[in-house]
Amino acid sequence: METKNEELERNLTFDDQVIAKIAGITASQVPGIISLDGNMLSEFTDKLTQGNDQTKGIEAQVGEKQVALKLAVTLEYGKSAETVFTEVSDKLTQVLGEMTGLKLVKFEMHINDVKTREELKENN
Amino acid sequence: MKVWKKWCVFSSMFLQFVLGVIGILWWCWPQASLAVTISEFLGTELGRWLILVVASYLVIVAIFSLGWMLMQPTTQKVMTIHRDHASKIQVDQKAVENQLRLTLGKYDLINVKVRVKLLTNHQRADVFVQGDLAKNADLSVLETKISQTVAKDLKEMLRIDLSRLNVSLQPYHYGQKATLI
Repeated sequence: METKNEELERNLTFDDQVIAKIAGITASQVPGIISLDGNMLSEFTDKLTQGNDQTKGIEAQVGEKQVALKLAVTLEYGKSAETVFTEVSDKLTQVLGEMTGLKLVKFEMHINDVKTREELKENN
Repeated sequence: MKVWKKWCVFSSMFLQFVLGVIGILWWCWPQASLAVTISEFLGTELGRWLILVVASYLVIVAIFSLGWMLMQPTTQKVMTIHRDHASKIQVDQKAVENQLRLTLGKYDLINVKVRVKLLTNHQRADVFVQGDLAKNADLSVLETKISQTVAKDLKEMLRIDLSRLNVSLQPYHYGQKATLI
């Protein structure tokens, strides 16, 4: 009698939007980042959904093991860009590693604007 | 530019180029035999269908172009201020100008305008500061302080070196509109 050893094929994949959402939530918790900035369309949909779009301003490229992220942000006035960049990068590496097992290999942060928290409230 | 982008631009612009050239030639030589032939052809059933197809194509291209434009973030001049292997930080000109405008809020100045020219290849910036004096002040001392503050702020916050600073201050005239920081 012949026994057939069937192996279970397991695949865990993530949609780009899922990674973008994780990155959005994580980045907005880092002190120094006061908002994520999208394009005209996403800013408009964000206004309609009362600011619930957490993937705004984030581009994610997801591979099997690695991930690349691009964030467009508004920096809080008085914070050093490099310090904030390092904090966001470290936090994203940690959270993505824990939640998805993916490694952040490329991270680009684009600072669109510098504002105080009061200014941001006034603009909204 | 990537190959697919080149093909997209080529396919969307080529037909417009051809139509534009035909339109100009038609206007210049309306009685030429080719112009008459084309005119007659466009009047036929097949010609009308061709006009419909071309018009639809142009409308679709216009919609895609507008959609693409809306999807792109609005930026001004951008400078890379820090690289770490594959990672980098980029800063927009508007962000640098706002950073400096907010920093200069601690001085007795009103109607402050800051313009920045980013010298992207050298990670340096030319800064132009304009403002009205809110109080009597020693101009040379104030200019020195502003110069030091701008250079320190650019370096510490954004890792940009100050290349040139132009400060233009004038007394505030009573009744003049005041923009506060």
